[in-house]
Amino acid sequence: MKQLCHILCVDDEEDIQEVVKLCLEMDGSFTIETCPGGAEALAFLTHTRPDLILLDVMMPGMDGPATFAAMKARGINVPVIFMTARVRGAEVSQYLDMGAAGVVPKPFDPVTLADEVRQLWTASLAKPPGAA
Amino acid sequence: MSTVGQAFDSALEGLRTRYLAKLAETAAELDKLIAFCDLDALTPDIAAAAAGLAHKLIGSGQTLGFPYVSRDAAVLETVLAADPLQPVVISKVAKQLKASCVDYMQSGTPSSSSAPLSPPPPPSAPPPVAAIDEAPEPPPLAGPSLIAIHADPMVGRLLDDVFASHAHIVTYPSIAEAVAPAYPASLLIVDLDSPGSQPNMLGELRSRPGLAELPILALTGQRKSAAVARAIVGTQLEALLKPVTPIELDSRANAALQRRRLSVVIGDDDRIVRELLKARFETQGYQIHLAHDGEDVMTLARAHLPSIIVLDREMPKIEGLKVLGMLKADPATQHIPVIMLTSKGQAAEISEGRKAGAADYMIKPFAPDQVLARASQILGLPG
Repeated sequence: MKQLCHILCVDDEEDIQEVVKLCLEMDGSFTIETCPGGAEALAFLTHTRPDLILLDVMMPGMDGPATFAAMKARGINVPVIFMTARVRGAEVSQYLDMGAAGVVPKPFDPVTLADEVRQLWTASLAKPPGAA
Repeated sequence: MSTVGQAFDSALEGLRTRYLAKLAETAAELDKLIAFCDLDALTPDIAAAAAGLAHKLIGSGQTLGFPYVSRDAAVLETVLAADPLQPVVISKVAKQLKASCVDYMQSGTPSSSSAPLSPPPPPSAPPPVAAIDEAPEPPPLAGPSLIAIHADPMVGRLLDDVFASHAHIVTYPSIAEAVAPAYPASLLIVDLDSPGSQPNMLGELRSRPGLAELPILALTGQRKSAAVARAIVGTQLEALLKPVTPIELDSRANAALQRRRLSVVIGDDDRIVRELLKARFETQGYQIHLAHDGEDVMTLARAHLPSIIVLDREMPKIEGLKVLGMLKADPATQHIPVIMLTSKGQAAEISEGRKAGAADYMIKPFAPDQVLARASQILGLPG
């Protein structure tokens, strides 16, 4: 079975980037890369394919959904988990309908983040990456 | 704790410390926003920038251990979304958010658990920690005494808002320092996010004299802490996930205090029925007195004057209906509501029991939850 090893975290907020990196790296089984925005993430993805992308919804410039749409348009079918401080039902449904593997609400619990991400990723393997 | 766990805590602490320093920048940004509001010079661009700032704080505040930053930022974001050019409301909400930032900056919470916390009272909050050796005022006779364990000025402010008007609060900064006060306390409130108050210390806390039976309200921003605390203490602990509103805290504390004062005499000669009902009533914090015959019921009722009596109709020595009559004839016990249980369901018998003064009549077999729910209803308890 495919293992979750390499994760890209896309968030404009440095504190969140670092806490995500810390929580996931401490788990011991992940390598984490970070990008501060959607454009940087797309540039990163031209040469690297992580196993999973944690994608902030609200970012200046290219936001999370726009980044996700651009990824799909480029044929980049890496599972994406959105991170958002807005966890209203309609928005969560919208992200899942777009093909997201899951949504992690902010604020999140640093202690359980790794387990949560692993569970969402495992569940995403049951369906084709990026499929709605 | 494992080395990895220690490294994690240490690294997270580093991030929190840096975040704490950044709160000063946030407070300065909020000052600008407040100034624009007060000068009635708010523009859509400034409002949009403020909304961006609030949004970031919602996500990062609680994640890094500053739940009130998240809470107040969420209010600011909502207000800005509703009407971005409403200066009076925005100014008020921004001031609240800034006060939360300043409180954290001054208290240094959360901070290294090895560093003793001696938070100065922030301007927006009353002094949070009154150590026991600072000669606490004697408690008012009419109100309950609360033991509070926390080192967070925000929690102190919340407790004062909710309880200071009618309860005496004895505060300790950590679990290690908590002891039972000289006078009886009714409730223990512990902030599991304060340094020196980890949930795994609750078992030892419960072993101290005077603290074993107290209901506990645990405040925490971490679901895991809440789960650990519940696993250790059991049904006498209720966990409230931060941010906790004053209304929520008041309601949960009142419910816990009310249940604390509740007791029940369960009279049934069937051990299984007694144990089933005992288990259900215990989950709600009742003090339980078990009787296996009619004589026992009378003895326990007169000795303890319980809040309610659950009485089987068919019992040895004195049968239930006669016990009911004796209870209702005694001025000391006549006010105690009685729920009769019976395997006889005929209308005439139910009517007989009602006439004798039963508050309710339940037919066996019954679900223990139904008896508990009926008792709560008769006693006017929430939920």
